[in-house]
Amino acid sequence: MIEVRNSDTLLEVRGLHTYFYTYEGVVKAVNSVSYKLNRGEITGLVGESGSGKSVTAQSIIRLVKAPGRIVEGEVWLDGQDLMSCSEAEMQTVRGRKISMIFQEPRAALNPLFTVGDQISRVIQLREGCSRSVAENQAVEMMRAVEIADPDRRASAYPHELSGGMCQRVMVAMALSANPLLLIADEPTTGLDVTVQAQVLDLIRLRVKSAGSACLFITHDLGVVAELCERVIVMYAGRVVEQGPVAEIFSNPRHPYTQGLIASTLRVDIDKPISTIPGTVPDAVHLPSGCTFHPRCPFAEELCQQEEPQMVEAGRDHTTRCHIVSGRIEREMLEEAWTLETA
Amino acid sequence: MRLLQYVGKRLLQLIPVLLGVSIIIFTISHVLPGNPVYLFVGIDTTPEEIEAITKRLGLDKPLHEQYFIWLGNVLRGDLGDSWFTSESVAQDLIRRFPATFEMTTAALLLALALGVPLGVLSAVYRNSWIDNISRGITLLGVSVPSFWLGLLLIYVLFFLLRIFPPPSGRIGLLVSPPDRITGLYLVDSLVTGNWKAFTSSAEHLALPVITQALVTLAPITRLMRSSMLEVLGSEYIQAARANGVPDRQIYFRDALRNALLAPLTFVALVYGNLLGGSVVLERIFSWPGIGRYALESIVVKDYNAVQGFVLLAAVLYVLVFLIVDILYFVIDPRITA
Repeated sequence: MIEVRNSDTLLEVRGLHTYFYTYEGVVKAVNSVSYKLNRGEITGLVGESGSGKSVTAQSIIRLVKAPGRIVEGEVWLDGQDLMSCSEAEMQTVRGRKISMIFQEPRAALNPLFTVGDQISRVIQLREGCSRSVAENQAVEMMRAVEIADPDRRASAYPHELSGGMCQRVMVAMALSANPLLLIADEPTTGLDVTVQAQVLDLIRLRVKSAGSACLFITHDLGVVAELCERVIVMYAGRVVEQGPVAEIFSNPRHPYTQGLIASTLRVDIDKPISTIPGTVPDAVHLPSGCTFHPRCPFAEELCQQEEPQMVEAGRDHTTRCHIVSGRIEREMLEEAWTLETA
Repeated sequence: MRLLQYVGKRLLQLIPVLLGVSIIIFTISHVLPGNPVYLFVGIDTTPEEIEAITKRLGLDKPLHEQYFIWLGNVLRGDLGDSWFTSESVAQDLIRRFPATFEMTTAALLLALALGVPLGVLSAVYRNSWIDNISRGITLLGVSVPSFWLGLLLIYVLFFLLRIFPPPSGRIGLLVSPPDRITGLYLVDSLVTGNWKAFTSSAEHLALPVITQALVTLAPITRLMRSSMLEVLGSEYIQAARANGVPDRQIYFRDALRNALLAPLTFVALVYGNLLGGSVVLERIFSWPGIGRYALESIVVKDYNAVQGFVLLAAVLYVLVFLIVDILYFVIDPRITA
């Protein structure tokens, strides 16, 4: 493989393996995952629950909860190898170079401290400034994420604020760092649609203006289409397809991506919603060959026996499928998805 | 301001609780079989004399009337006289309570001082040697009865090693107690600068306090460990880590305060129980506290004394919970008045 050193690349993940050692066996939550994130771009990371999206994010900042462990892989952030950093060095990366926004804003805030306290504390830690300076900055950050009446809200406790307000607080906390990389782990789940749009706008605005990169984890393809430049599709711990959003949405090559797109609700076209048959496989006992083969309408014998390699599927577009690589000669018909559910 | 409002409200709520307690105590002691009049009479007392005594004690009146008379007396601080010590029960309890209070408070403080850090360390260094040791100690602590542990400690630390004095009460037989200010020997001897009394009472406190603390420490450590583990696994701790907060701050600022919430109720429960006097330990260590007083009163059917003791224990219990509720209110902003 030819290595292209792109100066626009901010984060590069190479051959990341994160396993969970449970009583039932080893769960390969992240299994040989590689991708790049470019500056000024928002990259969507999509997949069903249990596909390894969140663990990928946790692995980048090296906060995988036990019994999980990063087994192998490299994570390069702006020329720095995060996997070989000491824990102390990592603490200066987290909250400074990489910030994270969590799925459940209320659960991600400490219930016993005011939100102003929590934001200013992070600022104080980072800047080493005085408490009052940090407090002022916290209020400014809250104003920047369009929290009305930030002075008063700063002294509120998380339980006194709505979910959307808490998420803005989290966004304010994450963005106060001016991070190189912003990881947003399903930041809009559980928010009203209008609030969701506002939070997404905030993230987009800040990423674009600061020239940082954003890894946006979601299972909502609609959000990806609207927000992201690139998309990475994960299935059972592996990246199955990645490329520019426009390309992937117009020309999805992996059957799983096709299924995902076919199963999103479209109001502009009159077509029945289809579903991908079956469920995400048992993480301990993954299917042989291509992990998607039991659910794939195009699967043939080879798919059960041999795992497909990542191959070019278009411009800057790669996927992992025997049909795309040409080892199986077969056409993938879009109707396959509607037929499955009929 | 908010706090004052809350405290006021909780104090008002105490009134019906204590009234209920007084009714229960009164009713139980009056419906129990046995006529207290017979405690005052001999074999050759005539029925007329018995009637006279019944009248004198007010036992001929209807039960509710008796209750109100009793309640009025209680409110004036009159718990009646003890038949056994022939002194006022209130005086008896006031004299003995500091002994119980001093021992149990010292034991609880020691248990907290050891149990909380041990539980926290166990959780932070889960499955390490320190966790294993702490789990060993707690397993021992919850399995060993306090009377056995007390006797063992007396045997080893007094009889064999002579490190501590014999279990002869609160202070050495040849040392005179400090002048009474609070009734707590340690405090009184410190205030009056009576070093001899201070060291002697400290030495005498040691064994019962260690015994009680070891037994109390075990469940506190266990609870602290599990509570801390739960908090450390929570989303907001993960979020704090993701924001680059160093471990030390995570443990002591973010996690500890949250982790203390759950064990607090348990500590209140234990302390409320202990303040009622540990009958067994006070007996083993000849400790002149209210637990032993209660035991002796029960044995000789000293109704007034038992009633007074139960009332005091109930009031203490309620007060401890009041304090804990106020603590919760201060620590946890989610609790509203």
